[in-house]
Amino acid sequence: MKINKIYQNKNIISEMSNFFETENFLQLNQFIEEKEILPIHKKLIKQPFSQNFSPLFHKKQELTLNKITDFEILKFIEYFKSKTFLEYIENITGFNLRLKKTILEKYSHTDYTLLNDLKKTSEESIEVIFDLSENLPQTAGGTRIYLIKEEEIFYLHPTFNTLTIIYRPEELLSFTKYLNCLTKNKFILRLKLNFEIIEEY
Amino acid sequence: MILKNLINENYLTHSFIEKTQKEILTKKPFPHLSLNNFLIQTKAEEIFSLLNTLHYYKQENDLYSFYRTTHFKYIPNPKIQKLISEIFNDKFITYIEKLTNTKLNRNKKEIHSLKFTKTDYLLCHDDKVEGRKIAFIINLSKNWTKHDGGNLELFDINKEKFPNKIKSSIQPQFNQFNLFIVSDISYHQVSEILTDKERISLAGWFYEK
Repeated sequence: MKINKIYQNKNIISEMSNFFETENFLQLNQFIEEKEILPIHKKLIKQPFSQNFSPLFHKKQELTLNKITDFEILKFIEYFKSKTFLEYIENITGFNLRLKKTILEKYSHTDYTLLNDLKKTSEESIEVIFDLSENLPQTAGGTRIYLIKEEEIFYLHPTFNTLTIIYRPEELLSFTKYLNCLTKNKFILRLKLNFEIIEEY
Repeated sequence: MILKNLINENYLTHSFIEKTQKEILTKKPFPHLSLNNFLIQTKAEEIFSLLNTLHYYKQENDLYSFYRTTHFKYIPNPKIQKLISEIFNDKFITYIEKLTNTKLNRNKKEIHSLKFTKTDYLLCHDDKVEGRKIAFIINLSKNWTKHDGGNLELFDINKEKFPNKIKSSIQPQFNQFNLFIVSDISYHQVSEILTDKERISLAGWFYEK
């Protein structure tokens, strides 16, 4: 996978790392070279995502990763699960990490996630989201909102070909705002990776 | 005000009340009631006009997006206080008790008005708060069609007692009275508004004795 050259420059990585250390959040636009990501996006949207509806928690669609047969999509996912990518994220975050979970999910009109008291609290972790969404108007919903004790900390509005890295302390909660009818036939598509923090460098 | 000057007389007959008492507890997915043309038409129009004079505040979080008034008991407007004493008085509460086979607290009730506009919604929840017994909604949305959204949707539960599938979907109508018994399984939602019309209602809760 060809990452935008800017994000491979050692000085830039060092700047990104400093930014992440203070903000606990980093967003890299145009992360993968366009000529590589466009054909993958085209293939991904044709994949058979299955509905996952649990009314108190979420309504969304997920793609079962072990059922993917398309070589290019597999290669794309393998890159994000690779040692190279793990080390890249470790360099930026300053943590030794272990990949715990990889989900490919899609949200269309009427989809959402909810904060719910019944949800188990999660452990401190690093969340990485690679966004392949079609650009949605902000009024359509779909923004992923992060909060601590009801205070909104940051917003992640779907933006195509953007990598977002988030430090998740235990008390950080998040939800994806209901996608209303202004979504029309567009959707959110994202690869979500959750990394366990083993230790700080 | 006596009930026959407030409520459609068809809903005040002994036979209707008896039939409702028998049927409500077996209603699926959970005990509920939906009565069209519930109030005397002029009273419904009067309430509709009054609600349109109130101030609504936008409420938004992960679960909902809509506009709401302050609880009516905190609105010093004499017309609102008159409305509460005319409708939600002892006689009305006794009537609700009969319909639902419940015993309700005369002194504790919460009443407000909700307004949903295009793209607003209220996702799945159970309304459960300590002591709440009956949730009610008097719909005052005019010229509503099935394409406008805003349905009150009731969920059944799975074996873990979590909401599962929508089993009943009630399309709003002007002067429609909906109520349900609040419980651990009274999961419901209001589907998104898909029209430029406003879905306006008088809603609230009665508490158990």
